[in-house]
Amino acid sequence: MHLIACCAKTGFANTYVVGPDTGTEAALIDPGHFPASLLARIENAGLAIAAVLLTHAHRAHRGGLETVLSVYRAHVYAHAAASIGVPCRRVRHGDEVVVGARAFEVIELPGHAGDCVAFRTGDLLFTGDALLAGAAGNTPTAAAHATLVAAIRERILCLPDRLTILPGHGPPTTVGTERAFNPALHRRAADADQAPAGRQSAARHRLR
Amino acid sequence: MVASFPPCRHPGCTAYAVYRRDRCAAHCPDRTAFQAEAAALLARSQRLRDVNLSGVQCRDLDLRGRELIGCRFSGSAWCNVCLDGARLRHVYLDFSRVRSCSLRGAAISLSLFAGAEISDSRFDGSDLPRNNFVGVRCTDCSFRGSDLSSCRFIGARLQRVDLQDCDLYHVHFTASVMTGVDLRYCNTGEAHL
Repeated sequence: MHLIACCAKTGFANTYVVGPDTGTEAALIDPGHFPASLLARIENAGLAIAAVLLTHAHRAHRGGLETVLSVYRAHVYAHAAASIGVPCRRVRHGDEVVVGARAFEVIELPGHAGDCVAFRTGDLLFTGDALLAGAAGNTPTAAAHATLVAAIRERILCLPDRLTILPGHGPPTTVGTERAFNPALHRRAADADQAPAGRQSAARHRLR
Repeated sequence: MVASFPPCRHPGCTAYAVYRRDRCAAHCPDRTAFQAEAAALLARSQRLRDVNLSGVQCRDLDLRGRELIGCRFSGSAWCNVCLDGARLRHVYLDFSRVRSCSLRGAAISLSLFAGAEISDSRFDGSDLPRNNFVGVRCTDCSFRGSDLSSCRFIGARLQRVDLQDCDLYHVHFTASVMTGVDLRYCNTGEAHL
C-alpha cells in the first residue's frame, strides 16, 4: 500500500493519500491544501486520485478541494450533515466507501463538529480532528466534548491496539497509545461533563 | 509504501508477527534466534524499509547514517546504540526503552516514541518534526538545538531534559510533568505549555 502524508506549513493540517500496491486508484483524505509538491508525489507514485474523503467540512481540511477536482475526476465523500459547496456522496456511520481494491469503513465521531467521521481501511484509521495524538478534538461545548469522548470510547477504543491513527493535525499515534495515555479519555465521565470547551479542556500542565 | 504485517498466530494475540516469523516476539518459540537475526539485519542494512522488529533488543550497535522507513520496533530495547545522522520516517518505537543512545543530527519524522522510557540519550541538533512523545518518560536527555515543531509530549514526564534553543512551534506539553527542564532560548510562546 502506498501512503503519502503531507503537512501544511500553516496550521499543520495533514493531508493523506492512500493507494494500492498495484493499480492506480487512490484516495485523498482531507485536502486542506493541495500543493504542487503533493501532486508531484502522487504522480511519481503512479497514482491517480479517484476519491476524496473528508473527515469534516472545516476549511483547514478541504481548502484544496477545488484544486484537486480541477486535476482529477474524483468522487467526493462527506458526512450527510457536511456543507462543502461541491457535489458529493453522503456517508453515514457503518457505510463503506470502496476506492479501487480498498474499502474504507465510515465511523461517525460527532463532537468537534456535527459532521465528523473517521475512515478505517485495514490497520489505518484517519480520524481528522476528532482524535489527535494525546487529545480529543476541540469542541464548542462541554456537552459536545462528552459526546465526542463517548463516541471515541465506544467506536475507537474497541479496536486493536496495533491500529495506526493518522489524525488531521500532528503526529500519528496508535489505538494502544491513546488507550494508555490520552488524558481526555481517562477523565471520569463526571469530570468530562464538567470540562470546559475548547483548548481549556485539556488537563492542566504542571511545571515544577 | 506502508507494509501490511501479518498478525501473530498465537491465539488471542493482536500484535503483528515479526520479521520472518508467524508470531510476535513475545510468542516466538525461537526468541534467541530472532534477536540475533534482528540485530544482524540492523547491523548490515544501510536502508531498512517496512520490517517488523518489535521486541528486538539492541546493544552496542553503530547505526549512524542509516535510513529506517516504515519499520516497527514497538516494545524494543536500545542500549548504547549510535544513530547519529540517521533518517527515520514512520518508525514505531512506542513503549520501548532507549538508554545511553546517541541520535545527534538525526532526521526523524512521523514516528512514535509514545510510552517509551528514554534515558541518558542525546538528540542534539536533530530535525524531529511531528513525532509522538505522548506519555514518554524522559530522563537526563538532551534535545539542544533541535526542531521539535508539532511534536506532542502530552502526559509526558520530563526530568533533567535539555530543550535549550529548540523550535517548539505547536509542541504540546499539556498534562506533562517537567522537572529540571531547560527551556532557554526556546519559542515557548508558540508551544502549548
